[in-house]
Amino acid sequence: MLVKNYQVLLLDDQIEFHQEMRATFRQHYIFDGARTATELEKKLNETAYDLLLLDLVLDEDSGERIGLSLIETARTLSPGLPVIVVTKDNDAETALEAINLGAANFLYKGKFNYDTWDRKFKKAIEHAPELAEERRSTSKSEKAQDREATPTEALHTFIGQSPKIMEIKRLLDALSEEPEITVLITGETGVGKEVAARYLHRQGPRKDKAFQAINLTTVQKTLLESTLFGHVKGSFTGADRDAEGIFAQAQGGVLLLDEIGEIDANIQVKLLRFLEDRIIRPVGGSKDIQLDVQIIAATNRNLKEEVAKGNFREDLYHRIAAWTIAIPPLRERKDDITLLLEYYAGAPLEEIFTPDSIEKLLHYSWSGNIRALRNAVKYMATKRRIEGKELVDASCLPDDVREYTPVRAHSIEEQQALMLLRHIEEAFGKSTRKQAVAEMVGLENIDNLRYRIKTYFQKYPALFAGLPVISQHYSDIVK
Amino acid sequence: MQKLANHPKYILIIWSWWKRTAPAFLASGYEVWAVEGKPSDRLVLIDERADYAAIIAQLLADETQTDALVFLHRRSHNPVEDLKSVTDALRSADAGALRKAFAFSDGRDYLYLSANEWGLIGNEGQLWYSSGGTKMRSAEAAANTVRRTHFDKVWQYYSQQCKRKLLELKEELLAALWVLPVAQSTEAVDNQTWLRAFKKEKPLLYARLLDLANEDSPKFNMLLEQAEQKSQEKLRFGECRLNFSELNPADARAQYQHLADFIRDGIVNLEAPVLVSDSLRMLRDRFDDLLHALPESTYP
Amino acid sequence: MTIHCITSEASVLATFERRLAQENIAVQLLHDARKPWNAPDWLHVERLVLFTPFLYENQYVAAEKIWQSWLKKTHPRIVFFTAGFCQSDLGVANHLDLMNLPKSLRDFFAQQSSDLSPTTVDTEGLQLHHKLARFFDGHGKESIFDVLSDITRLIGMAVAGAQRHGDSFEIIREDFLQKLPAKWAELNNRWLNYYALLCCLPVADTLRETNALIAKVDQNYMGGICEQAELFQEETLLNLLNDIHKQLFKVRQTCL
Repeated sequence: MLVKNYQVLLLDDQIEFHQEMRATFRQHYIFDGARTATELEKKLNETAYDLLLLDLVLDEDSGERIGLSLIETARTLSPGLPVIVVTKDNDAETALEAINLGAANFLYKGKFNYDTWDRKFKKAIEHAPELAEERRSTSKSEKAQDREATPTEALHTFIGQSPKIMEIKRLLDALSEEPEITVLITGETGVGKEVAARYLHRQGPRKDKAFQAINLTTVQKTLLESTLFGHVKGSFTGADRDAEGIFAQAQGGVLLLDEIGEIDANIQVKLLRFLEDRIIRPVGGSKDIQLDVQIIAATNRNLKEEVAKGNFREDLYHRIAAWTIAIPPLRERKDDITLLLEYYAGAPLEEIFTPDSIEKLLHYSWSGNIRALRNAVKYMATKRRIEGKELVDASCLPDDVREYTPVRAHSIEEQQALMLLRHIEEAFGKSTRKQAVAEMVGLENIDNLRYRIKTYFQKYPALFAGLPVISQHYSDIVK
Repeated sequence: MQKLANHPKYILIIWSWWKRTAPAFLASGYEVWAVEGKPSDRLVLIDERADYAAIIAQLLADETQTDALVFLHRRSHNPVEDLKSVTDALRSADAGALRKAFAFSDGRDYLYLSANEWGLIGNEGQLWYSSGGTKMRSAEAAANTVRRTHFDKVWQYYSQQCKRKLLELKEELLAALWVLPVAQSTEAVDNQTWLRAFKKEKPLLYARLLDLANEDSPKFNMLLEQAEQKSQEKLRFGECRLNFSELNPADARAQYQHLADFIRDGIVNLEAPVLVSDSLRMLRDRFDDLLHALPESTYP
Repeated sequence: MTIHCITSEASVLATFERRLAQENIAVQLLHDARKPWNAPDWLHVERLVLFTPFLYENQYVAAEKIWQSWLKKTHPRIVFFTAGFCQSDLGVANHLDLMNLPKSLRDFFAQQSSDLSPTTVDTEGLQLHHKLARFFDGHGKESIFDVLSDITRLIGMAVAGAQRHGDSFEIIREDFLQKLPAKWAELNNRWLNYYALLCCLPVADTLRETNALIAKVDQNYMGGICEQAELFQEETLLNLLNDIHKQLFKVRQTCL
């Protein structure tokens, strides 16, 4: 419960917005205002605020809109000051970028709701010291906290201290305050998509309501619709009574639809209808049911490609993909491997593993991600016990870990080639003129463009597999 | 297509600003006004009695990347000739800069508040216009600031006018030519024979084509004049031709020359058998080349 | 094979029809592009040719990018082509250059799949997708969403003032409601600037519905919002504004 009035600095070039905010939140917040970046810097230098609300403002010099770059300014001038970014409606991209840059949360300017905004302010202010602390915290504190959790909770603890995971956690914290938003979590098998979904549920206002999860590939196709939306008695053979679907069971709470990329066109239409109007209709039923459920979709497929292939509806894709959280595979956040090994093994690495086996475990590619790592820890613990060894050595490691040798990474030149080719590919999406494309990617002329593409094709043909436009029109481009 | 960069924009109006009494116009011969909310843009008022070409040259000397529109109060019956006095001063070495010049007179042009509520100038050297008890202002005199919407609307209208006219002629002309049986034929015909038929069927279109290439023809000139009076629409290219040939970036100037040459030598004056479809394709290509070389967009 | 066409030039279509008849391909005018869009029966449309740019409200409009996006999202089975007096360019496999027709039009139309070219030709006409993007996502007064969001927020804050703080109508009017007429005029102005032009698009029906919703808010609420204490608290008002937002968002989603 707040007992004091907090000092909030609002940066916005709309003077009316300052007045509105002051009047609306006068009970617990004292607002100060800045309308330009210069004013913001001045105010931050002079006063200690509890919260900064940041909108895009006009830059006095360029006349361009600036905003997000000011997050860094604020963090430098007032370390630990929580920042909430005020964005345009549905501008998920800016909000996402803001969170990545260190903002604690975001507000949609046109979606005013007193309680939600108030809660966001409070949460940002009250968690501010934690956020600063979190960056400094050691893995030990999290481990200690995690070890106290119950077994079910522990299974769903979101472990990770790598910058990427910290960013994702901050984003999930922010999104948890938007109980209407549909979130898409992507990532390879075993990266912890369900763990992230549960984390989102635990942080938000729906935390006291149901969390339901369903893997859409595990349900027989003919039964999927009824499993999701329920059915009425007699609607098909075997439907001897009315049954509630998982959507209804998740009423008020959160529903995780795992492997969303696998559903057929019929279910896609019904899901779209739910996302647009929050309405479902049980199989065989004649009445629509209004539900309040937050959907989290998860997939290990590239849904954009599925849309391009015609397997997934584009409108549904846009509905669910505005807020996409991509959980990186373990090989891209090697910092977390130690943490996870210690977590699942229950002790510091050096107390369980020999230096050699630690080396092997840390360099392994973990293509099966956390799930594979967890299974490997179990396997090694058993093997160590059976063989009566004090520490896990090479002989206790799973075969594929023991025999693993890292694959060659792209050379610097190959990486540079790939980067340029990707720019060219993107530029051809904007213009069909070679001259314009050459200019866009910073090459002097068409000859240079042709030469680069031709040379790279001869040297690194494999790179072109991911470049459909260049590949398709290769001969036109280089002629 | 070249894209316009986000350059500063200057509008320079050469007019009877000296008639303003309170406050008196600056002795330097020009005044620079800011544009509301756009710190890099300017409205420059230049006294028509001053050496305005020198003032323009001086103001733009270090501003090669600045886009600029010059408006000159009409001094004779031939606005294109009037404007030639400023083209040298106005031309930029930067290919991406947009530079255009137009004449205005008699309260009829878009620039006037009397003709258009978003105009800039009133009567007698003022940035306001009063009619029937209503005073329309395009600027805040106290702050030497021009209202942004007025500045932007005038900018948009004039900067796009020529390209728009060009695209409209291209589309209308090709739609009319392509449907001719002779354009679908794979056999060569005498150029003047098919052209005679076209002139007869679509004389106004033909007149506009001649006008674009500055090909003098009293008969078709008169036709255009009459059509303009009837439709109250400016059909002739007028100052646009000057802009195409003198003021656009070098590439666009060259493309205009190609187009004008082809209209003259490849269509209007050619006396030889031709494959009409080939002639039309070449005409189209030259229209497209010029359109793509103009850095501005065609419509707001 | 039947080709459906959208064009503003009847004579060009007639010539095109004659040319296609030589290869036993039928041509049907789906819509006269000079008129506002009226939803046709899409059932029999398999191949659609948009003649671009087309003349609408005295402007040569290039709407192919919007058409491409809209068809992909709403009628993905329809194969989309453009045609016109503009040179075809690299990578634009579905553009028919009328000045340079392929030898076999049957092959041209048969070869294309509904997997459309990623790019379109540059006709130099009015780029409607840019205009639409500005209408929705431009900054400040340029964006209809921005104005609408200001209006919705003002009403939401006014309701919070009344219900949470128990503020009097006079205070609420001063803090929030008195700004609404100007904001609403701004929205109306912006809407009217675009509405007629955008009605050439296949989302014209949604735009007409939006227009009706705006008129409803206009007639029933905005006139008296600063005088009648009960109006701003009526749930219908916020619902109507949300519906306007929903409809516009739908247009944005399908067209861009």
